[in-house]
Amino acid sequence: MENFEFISPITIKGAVNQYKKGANNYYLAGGTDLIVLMREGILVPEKIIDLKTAGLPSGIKKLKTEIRIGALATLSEIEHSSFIRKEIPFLAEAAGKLGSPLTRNRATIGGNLCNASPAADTATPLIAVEAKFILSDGKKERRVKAEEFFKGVKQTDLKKGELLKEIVIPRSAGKGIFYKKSRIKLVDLATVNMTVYRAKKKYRIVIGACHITPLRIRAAEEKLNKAKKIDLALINDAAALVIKTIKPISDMRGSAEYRKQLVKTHVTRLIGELAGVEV
Amino acid sequence: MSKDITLNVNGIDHHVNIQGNETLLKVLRDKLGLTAAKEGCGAGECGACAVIYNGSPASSCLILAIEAEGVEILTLEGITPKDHLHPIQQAFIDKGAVQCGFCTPGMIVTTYSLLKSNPDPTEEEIKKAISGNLCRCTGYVQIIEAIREAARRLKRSKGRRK
Ligand SMILES: Cc1cc2nc3c(=O)[nH]c(=O)nc-3n(C[C@H](O)[C@H](O)[C@H](O)COP(=O)(O)OP(=O)(O)OC[C@H]3O[C@@H](n4cnc5c(N)ncnc54)[C@H](O)[C@@H]3O)c2cc1C
Ligand code: FES
Ligand code: FES
Repeated sequence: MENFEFISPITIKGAVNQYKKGANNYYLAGGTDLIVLMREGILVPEKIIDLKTAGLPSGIKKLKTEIRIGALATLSEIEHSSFIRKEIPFLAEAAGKLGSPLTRNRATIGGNLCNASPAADTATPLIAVEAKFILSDGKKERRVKAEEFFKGVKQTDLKKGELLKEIVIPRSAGKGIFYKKSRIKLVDLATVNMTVYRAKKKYRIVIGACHITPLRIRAAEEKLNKAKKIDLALINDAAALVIKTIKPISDMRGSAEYRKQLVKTHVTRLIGELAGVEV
Repeated sequence: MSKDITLNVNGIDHHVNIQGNETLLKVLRDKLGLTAAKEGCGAGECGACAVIYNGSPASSCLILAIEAEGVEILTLEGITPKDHLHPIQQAFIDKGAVQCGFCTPGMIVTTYSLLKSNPDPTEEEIKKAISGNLCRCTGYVQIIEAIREAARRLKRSKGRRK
């Protein structure tokens, strides 16, 4: 690992100012993505700016109409939060399936989202609940929809120096299911992951690791939402639309064909489970 | 950059001069002489470098020493009593859970943390807790047995102390 300057700002504004002072500076949260890339020499930062001292919100807050998760909340905190387990159990499950406990004790949800891997485990549940991300440039804040935050492999909507401060999730009585397939049961990145969500008889379908970003499949949602009655034939049609939309690649975690087959099988199963239809 | 920092390891403040790019693992081993934590992969995958960091087990190869200033760190050396072995260590020996031994310090650190928060774990809970600690020798069966045995012994000795 090359040497760098290490900065511990005490405000968000201080963090952003430091970041903007060079072209090759990086924010540090849990370090479980960043330090691996630095070690491999893929990233050679001039400055590392530690967000953990910068006064970002960290915990999980329960408000009347929304839930707020600080960008620095660790995956372990989210996995074990009794409140998240009760209200958004599929997010707790996604968090609990990211890496191993050793990783989850350090890895933050903000880091998982800003790293913007198409396989990021917390992305599909957050898109499914229509979460919004609060981004700060040290002066102003803006909100983006989770779905619009991801722009490509490792690319986000963050402008230079902007950071992710907090995640806002509207409270709702919807039900969701998260599914992750990886080569080994625990610890590995997803071959595919997905969340299917249902609230007020409307479905949301979000697939990960099968496109340059996690992808919400609106055509398939509409198929289900327009129907008077959901039966197996309709679910199969919706699954076919999902398969038509995704563009998986072949890599060491599986071939494109295998990924499509996995998605088909499991999206069918999850919709069936939520709709109460045997598949 | 290089900097003089204070690291709190096993309850003792250590003043060390470190480089920005040195990991906590490297500083523990090379500068503080605490060599229980091992470098297996250096990339967060194997758990050989596990230490208790701010109360929870974590891979010290993915923590920069410079960010560890002010954080309480506990290594296997700090878990081991001065004049005898810790019951977890003895259970690992008694159950044949140590072969080459490279994974053992990390396994014991993780076990220590597990049994602190959950003194009577199920087999599933044990498997989940050690899922970030890889062992290429034992096949895990003896390790899981050793953890169950350690849990029994710790409960017994706690009962005696009451
Ligand atoms: C062994 C291992 C297994 C893993 N398994 C999984 C897995 O199963 N699923 C999965 O999804 N991931 C996995 N990961 C990847 C990683 O652990 C997660 O993506 C993690 O959530 C990253 O969070 P972090 O806090 O460690 O991020 P960091 O490494 O600190 O940061 C990641 C990136 O985001 C930027 N960043 C961080 N926080 C912010 C912020 N608030 N605002 C703006 N930019 C920010 C950083 O500059 C950096 O570019 C694994 C990693 C390891 C080492
Ligand atoms: S050396 Fe740290 S996890 Fe392998
Ligand atoms: S005993 Fe050799 S790696 Fe576990």
